[in-house]
Amino acid sequence: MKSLLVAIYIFIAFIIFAPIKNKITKPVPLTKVSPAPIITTPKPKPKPKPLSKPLPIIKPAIEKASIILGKNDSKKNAIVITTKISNITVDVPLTMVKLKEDGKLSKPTIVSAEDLNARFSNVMSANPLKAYHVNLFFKESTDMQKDSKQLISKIIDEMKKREPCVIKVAGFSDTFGNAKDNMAISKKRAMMVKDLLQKSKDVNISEINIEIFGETELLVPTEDGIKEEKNRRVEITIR
Amino acid sequence: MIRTLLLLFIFTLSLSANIGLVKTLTGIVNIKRVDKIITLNVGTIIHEGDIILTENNSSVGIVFKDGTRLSLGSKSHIRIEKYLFNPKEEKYKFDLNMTKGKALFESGEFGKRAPESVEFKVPEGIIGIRGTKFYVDIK
Repeated sequence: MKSLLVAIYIFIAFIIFAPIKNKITKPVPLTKVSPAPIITTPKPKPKPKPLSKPLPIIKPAIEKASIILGKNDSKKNAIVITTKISNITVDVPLTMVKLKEDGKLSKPTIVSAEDLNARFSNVMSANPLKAYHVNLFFKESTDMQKDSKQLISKIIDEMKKREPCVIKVAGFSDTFGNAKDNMAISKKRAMMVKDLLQKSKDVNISEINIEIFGETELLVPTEDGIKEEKNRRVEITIR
Repeated sequence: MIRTLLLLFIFTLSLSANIGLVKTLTGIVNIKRVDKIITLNVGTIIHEGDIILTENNSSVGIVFKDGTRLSLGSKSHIRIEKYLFNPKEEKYKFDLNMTKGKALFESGEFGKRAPESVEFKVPEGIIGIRGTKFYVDIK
């Protein structure tokens, strides 16, 4: 019986003090440092010493990380930085935001390209080359267009630049004929290109993958049953 | 029969494990994979869950399956928590957790197909992408 009473007391005490505890853990914005918000705590405060008023200590928030948006060729280039108390979208290249302890964010500032280079030169020089994409087009069957044939040596060069390279070869067809045959012909095209690239023995190829699309993904949208040379293609990605 | 199945299973495992490749490297860079430490070379394959650790005067450049490029400077720590890139089933997830050092992140297909599925965690925050190149410097 006694223990039940104690348990009830603890329960009541918990209900009374729990919301206060929550209030304390809530982050207090930096600008509201003085005057200090009055927070009642469940424990009685120790008696203040009869000394002169101590000066409030304003600790600057410790900087945890700096994030800078780079310059990028793509149309979309933005980042969203989220912390437990704040968030910001950055879409202007060379904008820097600092993350501070407790999830505070600094005001965005612009850094110069020189500063960025100085700070990240080591990282920048480690950045691998961007993937190389190219389309090879076909007359009929696996007969490659002349312009496309002439690209092969350039493709081999791009492979060498990215050694050990990973290659993706994707085969496509136009919508002329039935879907099943088109799947087969797009596979033939992809296999032919794969063999062609693998012939160059002096290139270190880490991996070569084949993908077959048939008439499912058109470069130039057409109705079914249409001959379109731009759709009879093999897409190569080298990274 | 069982052996074939087992081989197939191992093959599938190795396929899903291969998520990226080391393309550039200077100095000494290690990865912590489960409880092993492996020293990286150009051409080493990166797995999901790897923790990449660069030493002093070192750097590394990695290309992921989707073409995302990640470069790290000296004394950097980053964990590739999750990497799922499956356009055929439209399944995407890319979680990184960086605790120290400098990095340059440039998204590939993820930036075009599923930018919202990328989370680059840093102390006290998360960077989300919308088709992006960005730099991080952690104290």
